[in-house]
Amino acid sequence: MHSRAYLGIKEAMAAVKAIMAEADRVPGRPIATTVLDHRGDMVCFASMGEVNTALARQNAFKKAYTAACMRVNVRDMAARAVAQGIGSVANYGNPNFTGGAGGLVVMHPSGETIMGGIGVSGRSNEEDEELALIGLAALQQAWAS
Amino acid sequence: MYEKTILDHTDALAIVDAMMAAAPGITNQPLALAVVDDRGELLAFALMDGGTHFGRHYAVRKAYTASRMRLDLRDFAAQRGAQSRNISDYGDSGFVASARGGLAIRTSQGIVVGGVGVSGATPDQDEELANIGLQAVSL
Repeated sequence: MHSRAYLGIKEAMAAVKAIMAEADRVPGRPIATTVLDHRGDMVCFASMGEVNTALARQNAFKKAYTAACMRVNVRDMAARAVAQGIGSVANYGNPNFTGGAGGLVVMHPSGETIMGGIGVSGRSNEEDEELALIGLAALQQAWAS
Repeated sequence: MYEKTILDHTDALAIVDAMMAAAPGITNQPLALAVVDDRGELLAFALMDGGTHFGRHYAVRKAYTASRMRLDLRDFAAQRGAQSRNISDYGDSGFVASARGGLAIRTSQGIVVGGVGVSGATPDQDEELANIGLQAVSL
C-alpha cells in the first residue's frame, strides 16, 4: 500500500479562474482551458460560450493530457518524439496526444512528483502557452497559501 | 440570420462556485459538478477532492441529457414512462436514463441555454445542489 499527493480542486480552480480572467481582457477571442491530474483525469474545466468545439475544447484537453501523461511541456513534445526515435507525435499512437504549445506540466513543489497538466486552446499556440503560464503561477500560489 | 442567447463561462463558473460552496452543508461526499451549453458541450467542470472517475462522467452526462432534451431529468424520466420509451430509443449513447441531479438551464423567457449536472451524493441531494447552482445566476 502507498499514498501520493493528488491535484485538488482549490489549486485547479485557481488556475482556471486566473486563465479565464486574463483571457477576458481580450474579448472576442474565446478559449477553453482545463486542469487534469497526473492520470489525465479532469479536475477543473472552463470554456467560453463561443469557443470552437472541435478546436479549443478538445485541444485544451489534449494539451493538458499530453503534458500530464508524458511529463513534458507540450512545446517540447515534437522534439521529444524525434529524440526518442519515434519520429512524430502521431507515431505514439495516442489520439489524445498533441504537439501544439499551450500545455504545461504541473509538478509537486518538491519538483519530484508529477501532479498533472494545464491546457489552454483557442488562440495562437504562443498565446495559449502564455495563458497557461499564468494559470500555473496561480496554481502554485494556491498551494503556497 | 438569427440571434441566439449563449450561456457564457462567467455564468457557468458562478453556478459551479455556488454548488461547491453549498455542498458541505448538504453532504460530506465529494461531488462532480458540470455545466454544459445548449448543445451539451462542457462549459465548466469541477471535481471536488476525492471525487470519483464515475462521478466525473455521470455529472457531465446528467447535464448533457438535461440540455439536449430541454428537460430536468426528473421530467425526462416521467416523459419516457408516459410514452413507454426506452432510453435507447433516443439514439444518443450519452444520455442517462432516470437519474436525478440534472436540470435544464433556462432564461427568464424559458429558453433552454444549457444544463447543470451533479453527481456524488443521493439523487435528492444532487438535485438540491443543482437547484442551488441555478439560483446563483440571473439569466
